[in-house]
Amino acid sequence: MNIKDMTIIELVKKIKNREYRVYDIISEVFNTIEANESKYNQYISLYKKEAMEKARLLDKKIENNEKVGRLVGIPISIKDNICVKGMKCTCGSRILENFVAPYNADAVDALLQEDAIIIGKTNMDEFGMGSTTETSAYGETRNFYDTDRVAGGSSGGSAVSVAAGECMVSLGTDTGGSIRQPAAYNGLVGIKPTYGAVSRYGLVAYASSFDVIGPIANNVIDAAYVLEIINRHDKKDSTSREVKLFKDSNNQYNQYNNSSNNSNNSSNNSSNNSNNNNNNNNNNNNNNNGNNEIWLEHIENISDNNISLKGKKIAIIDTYIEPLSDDVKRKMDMMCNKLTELGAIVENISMDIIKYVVPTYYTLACAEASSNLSRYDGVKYGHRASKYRDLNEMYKQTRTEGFGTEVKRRIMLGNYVLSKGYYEEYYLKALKSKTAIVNKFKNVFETYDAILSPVTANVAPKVGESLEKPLRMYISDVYTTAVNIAGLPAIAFPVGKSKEGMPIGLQLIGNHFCEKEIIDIACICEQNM
Amino acid sequence: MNKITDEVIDRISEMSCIELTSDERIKIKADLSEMVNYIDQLNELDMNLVNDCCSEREDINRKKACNVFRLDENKENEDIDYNNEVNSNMDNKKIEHNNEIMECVPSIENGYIVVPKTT
Amino acid sequence: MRKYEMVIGLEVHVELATKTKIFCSCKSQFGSKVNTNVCPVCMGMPGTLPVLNKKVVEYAIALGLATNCTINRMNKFDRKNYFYPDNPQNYQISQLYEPICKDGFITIGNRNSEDFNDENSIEYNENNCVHNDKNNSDCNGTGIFKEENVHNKTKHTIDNDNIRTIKRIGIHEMHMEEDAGKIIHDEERGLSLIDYNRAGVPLIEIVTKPHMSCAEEVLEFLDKLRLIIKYLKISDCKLNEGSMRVDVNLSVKEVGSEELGVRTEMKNLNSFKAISRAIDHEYARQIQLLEEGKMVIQETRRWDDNKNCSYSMRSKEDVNDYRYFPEPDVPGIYIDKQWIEEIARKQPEFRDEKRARYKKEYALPDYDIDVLTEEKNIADLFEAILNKINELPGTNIAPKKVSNWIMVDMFKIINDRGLAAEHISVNPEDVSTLITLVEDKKLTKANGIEVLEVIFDNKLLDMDVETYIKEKGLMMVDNDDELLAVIEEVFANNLKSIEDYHNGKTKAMGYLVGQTMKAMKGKASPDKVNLFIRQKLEGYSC
Repeated sequence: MNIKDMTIIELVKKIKNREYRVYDIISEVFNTIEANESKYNQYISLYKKEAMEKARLLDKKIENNEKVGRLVGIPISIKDNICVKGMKCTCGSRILENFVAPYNADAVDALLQEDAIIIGKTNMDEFGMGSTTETSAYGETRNFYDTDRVAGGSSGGSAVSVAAGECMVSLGTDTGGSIRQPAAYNGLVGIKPTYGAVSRYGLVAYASSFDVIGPIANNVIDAAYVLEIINRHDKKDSTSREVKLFKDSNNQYNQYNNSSNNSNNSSNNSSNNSNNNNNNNNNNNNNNNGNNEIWLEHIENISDNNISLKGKKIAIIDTYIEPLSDDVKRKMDMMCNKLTELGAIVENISMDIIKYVVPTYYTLACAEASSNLSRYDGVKYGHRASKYRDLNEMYKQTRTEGFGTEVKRRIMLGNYVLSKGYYEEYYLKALKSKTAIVNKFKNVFETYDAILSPVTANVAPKVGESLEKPLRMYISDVYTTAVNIAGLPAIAFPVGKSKEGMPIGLQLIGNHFCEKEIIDIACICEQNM
Repeated sequence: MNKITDEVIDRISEMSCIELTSDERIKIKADLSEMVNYIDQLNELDMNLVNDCCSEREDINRKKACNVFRLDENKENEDIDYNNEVNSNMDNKKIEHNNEIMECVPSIENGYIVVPKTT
Repeated sequence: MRKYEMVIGLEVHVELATKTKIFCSCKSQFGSKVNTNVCPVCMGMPGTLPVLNKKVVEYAIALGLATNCTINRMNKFDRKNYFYPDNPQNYQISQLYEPICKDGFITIGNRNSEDFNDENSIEYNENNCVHNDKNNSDCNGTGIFKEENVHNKTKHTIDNDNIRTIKRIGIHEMHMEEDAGKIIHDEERGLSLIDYNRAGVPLIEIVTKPHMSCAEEVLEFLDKLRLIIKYLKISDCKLNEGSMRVDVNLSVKEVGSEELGVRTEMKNLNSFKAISRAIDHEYARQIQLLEEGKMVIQETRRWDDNKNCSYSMRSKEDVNDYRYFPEPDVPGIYIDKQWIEEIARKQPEFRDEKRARYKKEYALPDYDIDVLTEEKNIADLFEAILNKINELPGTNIAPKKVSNWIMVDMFKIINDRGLAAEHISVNPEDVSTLITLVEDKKLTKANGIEVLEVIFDNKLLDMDVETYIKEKGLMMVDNDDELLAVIEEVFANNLKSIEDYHNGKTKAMGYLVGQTMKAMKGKASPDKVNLFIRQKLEGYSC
């Protein structure tokens, strides 16, 4: 039995029907992991004992006809910058090599409440700073399709653990493209949700204004299914929004974007309460069952080719900073044609402001990172240097020993743009530029339902190619970082392979909280491949 | 125009509490220079076209996204309990949770966190 | 020697008396065991996020309104970045760019709120020093100034023939921020020990304009600020406990010069006396430097009250680049008119207003007014008692009488029992009944005080005062016949005393009075007893 052969929904059904035992599934997963050992280096830590124990418990519950969650028995891996209580949380860094999280991230709580099984923590670029998973202090992660190439980053380990059939979904994080790019490089689906749709509590901060948690999975439906579960309001995160992404079954923009407030359909029992102060997790869970069934129904409808793209307006951004490789260009053309065939209206638009995306992103992200990473000083947790004469030296030694080169570089750049005399020239300008970018996207979405764009200009590069020229590496992020700056949702999905057999992915970008829109389109594309 | 002088590297690494080897200094100086020159592109943007970045006030979005508050109530351990057990003994839970936090500390003495003397 | 004047501005930090910290729901309370009021958020653990305590915003708005500030309807937090172990994240969440309040003032030199008529008020943008030279100081604390030394920027009122100078001390801004943890330095072992219980406790920082020109003005300003804060019940505001911390910024300039001198900052001022001493010392120190042709260095100095001098601290402050930028984890605060109005409605009557009203309505002397209004609790009690008394038909007890009861009798009980005036809670109805009974001469003062103690000790046991008094048989005996009979008996048993009296020992009468009071178990009106005994002695017949 290969878990890659079915969707999560299918497997959950089979588990509930006792066609499969959770114990067997998890055993199989760890067999695969052990067989793949050191090929890809996708894990930082594995928790086989705990996973098997939980598997036993769940099997017993099912035997006893007890109620079980919507992810019962599903093996999931978690990127190592998301806290799971009792598991190490290194962020791919030496400075946290001995840190064990004393609490769960809210997104992890949501999964555990649905009886998912977490098998381990995945490798990543240190603190999310990188696009290849080569800056990890624990070695680079290799691409599933070609171990001479990088897995992508920063959620490289997450992507490979799914691609290798060792788990059905992984939670990654996306600050500048770190879910979508490794997903694309490994032939997977990755969803970057709208900023605020998933709680950041328990996500180790890199750039607070851009960081989000999202799923990487084998197909669109699996990713959407998990997204629906982790999308919830969390009062521990002040930037978390009270918006349920999949409230209506109608293919309309939800309340958030509708100026003429539709009163919601009666089939939803809890949906009218976006101001619902009931933040009790369990309660939300119960109330969601109503929504969930409608959402399941909706997903199944898509699978049955019941949704059409007729009348959908899709934009293609004409302004390319990076020349696209032939392979990627061909896929873009192919997709445009396909969408047109399916009834959509595809149009080119120009977006000159794209030119400023990368400088804006790096100024703001590094500035926030320089502050967010100040807490790693050896005082309260994590690595502490052993040789020092006074406190100042302890700080310096600890951080110099604990941080890798890329992290040091970004901290220093961040401090530079915030420092006296430069704050107005760099940081404030970047903030203004951000507003300009946000406004431009707003403009676009007044006319269009979605934007189609490449994820990267090329397929996964070879190991060792990228790190020599950091600026080059930053610029290659242009297609993904624009989305983070604007806080928009985007879904990366596989569209085929290059001539050398490397996966290529494209992304659909939607308006704020319009995940449903782009998921529907991606789903249809997926089926029509 | 090279803004990233040695003096700047010194100042910034001091600010970042990071020590660089002489090789690292050379590389970072070059990298940062390149990056700063690249970021300078932002000067091309006509900022007059962009409203003050805090005029998000007019944006309905923002009004919805502000005023996120918490009531002034002692809620014990609202962030640790994920299996929603009914806790009859909150005090024990609190002590247990406190232990979990303090276990992370590299050096403790009588409950205090120990560090070398501040200058 | 040239003539100099002081220019003083203050930075005051006030610890708010909320139940929880500013960004997490840990207890914000004094005296807990080390590192027990902590959580992953206030310990700066990876992945944690701040969530703002609404009460802190309310308290800041209340204080802003009470000090005539403009409330910044859109305000936000910023990060102040610096490495120091009492700061778990190595940044402090504070407000720099858009603080919650700005451009307020507190009036000093006025007796009450009527003294400063707004129509004649003047906005000050710079120091308006009224002193020439500290040695020939014309300010002796009572507010009497020689006319020629008075700037035309201040206002004077004539009050009982004293010319008084009234000044507005400007408040530049007020903002919310989080407190840091506490560090204990172990010099011997070269270690520092950190307790994060205090990390994240909410603070309001008040930054004044440099409008003060001598220590007395500073103390008066602080006293007024303290009283406002205590009346609002937003903080204990105790210098010696650290719930109020004052940093003094002081510079000197030559009289008549427009140019301000270099200022220094002084910290570690733990009492009003220390503040006063530090100011005078620093003033003298700076003048001496200037007179010697040297320059004053901008620095932070630590005051040592035991040694009565200050030491320069490593001027980290000046070297530090805090790299302030907007806090991305806490959304902005938008305060609508309604919210401000709601809070404005709940504002209490403040001390200066009470002072004005008490003078007008109750005609109390200044001394009484000051004592009664020092604690809002006491002022409220005073007013409640008066109101209750006035409710009873036919009573006519002067407010001064009630004032005396409080200032003399109640405070004696409070002090004897070591109670805190701000925390006492007695039923005003009980006290008003008691006072009425005594003033109506239905109860002796002595017994009245006994009952007062019972009320304070909470031993009335659900009885109302009158019932209690009756049960204990403490009511004054109104029966003249009964009294006379007892006097007869006393006289009969003390023939010697009567003889003594007639032989010139007037003290003997007091003895007879005492015996009578004793026999009457204190329930006789002392006046009546005196009267009857005197009559009897004089007339020697009844």
